[in-house]
Amino acid sequence: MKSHHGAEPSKLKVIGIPEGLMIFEQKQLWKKFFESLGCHAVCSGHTTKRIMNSGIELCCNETCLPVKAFTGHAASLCGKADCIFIPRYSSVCSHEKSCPKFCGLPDEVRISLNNKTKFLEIDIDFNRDSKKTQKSLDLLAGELGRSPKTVRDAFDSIVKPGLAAEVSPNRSCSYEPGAPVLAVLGHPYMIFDRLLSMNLIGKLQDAGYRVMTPYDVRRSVRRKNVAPFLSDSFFETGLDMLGGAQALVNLPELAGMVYLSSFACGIDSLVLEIIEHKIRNGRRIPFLKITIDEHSGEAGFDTRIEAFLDMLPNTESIRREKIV
Amino acid sequence: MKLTFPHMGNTYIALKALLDTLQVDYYVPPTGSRESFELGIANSPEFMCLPFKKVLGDLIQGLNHGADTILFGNSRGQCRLSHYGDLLQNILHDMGYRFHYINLNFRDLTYGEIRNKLEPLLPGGISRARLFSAVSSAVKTIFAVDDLYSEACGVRCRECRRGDADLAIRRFEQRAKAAKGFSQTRRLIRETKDRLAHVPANGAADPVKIGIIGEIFLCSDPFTNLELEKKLGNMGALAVNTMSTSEWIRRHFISAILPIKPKDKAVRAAQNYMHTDYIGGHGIYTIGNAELMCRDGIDGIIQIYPFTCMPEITAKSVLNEVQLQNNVPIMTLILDEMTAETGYITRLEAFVDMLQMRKDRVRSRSG
Ligand code: SF4
Ligand code: SF4
Repeated sequence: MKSHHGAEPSKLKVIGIPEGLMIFEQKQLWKKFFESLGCHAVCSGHTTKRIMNSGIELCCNETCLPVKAFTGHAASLCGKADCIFIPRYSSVCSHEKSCPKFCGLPDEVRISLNNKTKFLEIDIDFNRDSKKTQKSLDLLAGELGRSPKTVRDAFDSIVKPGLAAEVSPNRSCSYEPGAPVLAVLGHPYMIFDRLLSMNLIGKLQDAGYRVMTPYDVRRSVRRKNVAPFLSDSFFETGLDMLGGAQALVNLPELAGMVYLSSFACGIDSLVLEIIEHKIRNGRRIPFLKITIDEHSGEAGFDTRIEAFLDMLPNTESIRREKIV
Repeated sequence: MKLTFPHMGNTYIALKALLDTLQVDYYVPPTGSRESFELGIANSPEFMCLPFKKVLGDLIQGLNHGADTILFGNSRGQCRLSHYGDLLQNILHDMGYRFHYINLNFRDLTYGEIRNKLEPLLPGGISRARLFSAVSSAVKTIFAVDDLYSEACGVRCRECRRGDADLAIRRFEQRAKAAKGFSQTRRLIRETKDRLAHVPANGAADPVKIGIIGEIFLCSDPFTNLELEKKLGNMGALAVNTMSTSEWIRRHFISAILPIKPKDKAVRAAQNYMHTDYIGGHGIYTIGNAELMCRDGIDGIIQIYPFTCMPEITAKSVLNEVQLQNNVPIMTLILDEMTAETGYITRLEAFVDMLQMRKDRVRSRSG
């Protein structure tokens, strides 16, 4: 192992940040973190067809679309950066956990990319073992040729407060009083990614709805709205969806809910069921589940949305308003 | 009060003996029942993992047959298993069932935990010593049953007359249902072992050795894995299952009561590929056991997991590398409720044939 008090300057100047999965919401944090350490950070940008296709090719077939997209993002950074940064998110705060796929993600991507490039990792596991984070930060310090203290301080001041941010960077800023609301639920890296979501949010807005997501609700409110579980921790996105849905369901303007899920997503299968159970036993609002994978065609997708919108009670009035 | 519990492989044999000993009234859902499974499938979310559907089906059967108390549990792991309990209760309530739910903590399955959860069931109470001895007997029985099944694997692939080992096991399973308490169960295990030992074996047989890795419920449950061990054995291959129920007990019960947790060999072996010791579920053991068996000279490996199983999908991506590094073929079988037996058998046969050919080639080269 390298000496931690790196007097030697590091050759890792340009850090690649793949914009997918858990980094999707937090890329600004990581970018700032690396820049504060004197590195240059390049992000992979929006998901493109090309990124998607390379991810599909590199990944094991059974995995979900977002993991494939992520791998594509990482691949797109090969050659553009000295190394690729992939954090290992197991949990961002106590009593919460991430999808198990995040726990092996750095290894999975490294192997899928055939060790073609260098990778940097950080362990984030605040529910079970926050010492792991410290250890991984020290290793990173060695790699970057910075002192462990500098790196720890940068992490504590820049990244840590944003891991469980109260206000999401993806909150919608549009507000139209009176417009009927559709709630869109799903992982942020699905619903806010134009390509993966086939521009779901844009399409609903074009149809005259105000779209709200759980990420428009403050995190503390999302957490307050969640019923207790048997186990002492629950999936972070699950809590966001359940708490968010619970907060949104009480909006008088709410016309319906759409849950966008990736085919074969293990977390969604569970969370969806709990939300549907709630809806069955509470205010029965129209609910649409859409599952997509790499074979989903946009035409079929659009048809399903249209059919759903047609079914909503106040569609007529919006349509009329739009015409006048 | 009448207790019911879901199946996981052959644990019911030990659990039944335990409940007999504690004089708890119970109902064991039918084993190997397609009907239970269908009930579970029909009432589960489509993309929930297969073990969940199987568990739900068993519990519905139990409740339909007069049980009013469910014994299950939850873990504190990263995966969905830790929330089976929440979902099971939601679904069963929505279906109109009312029941009492006993939630064992699988992550910390100590004697204390077992006593806290079981004691309210025992109207007359029970002394600490008696409960502990009963629980230890149950654990021992689980190990003995697993041992019996792995012995059957050793016999099946070498037997002169196909079906001898299967017959012995079938007899065992039939009689185990009627057996009461530990001593009868133990005697039955001994007799079956004896019977297996007397199955005429083909001395010249040199079966290919196939390791089984993957998601623990599927690996250890012959009904859900479509009798993988048996099928391989009847194709003349020796199945070595790394994920039996006793493995589960070792990880959840024995390690919970040990003061010092030993660093696991499989976890260490996985470090060749992984920079972590945990990827949810038993995924890390899948990788580690594959690596260990490759080093030990296994002929081939089968990874088996339910469709959408997250830790195993991660493991699968890594197994490609394990296979390349060690030059040992690894086949992945992903099961869902629609998996057809014929296609399954064809894949197994092709795999066994391929391994046999590889083995013959190596032998003829060295011979
Ligand atoms: S939460 Fe679902 S979509 Fe996200 S990585 Fe896990 S399985 Fe894939
Ligand atoms: S390990 Fe696999 S089968 Fe078990 S709970 Fe997780 S996803 Fe389901």
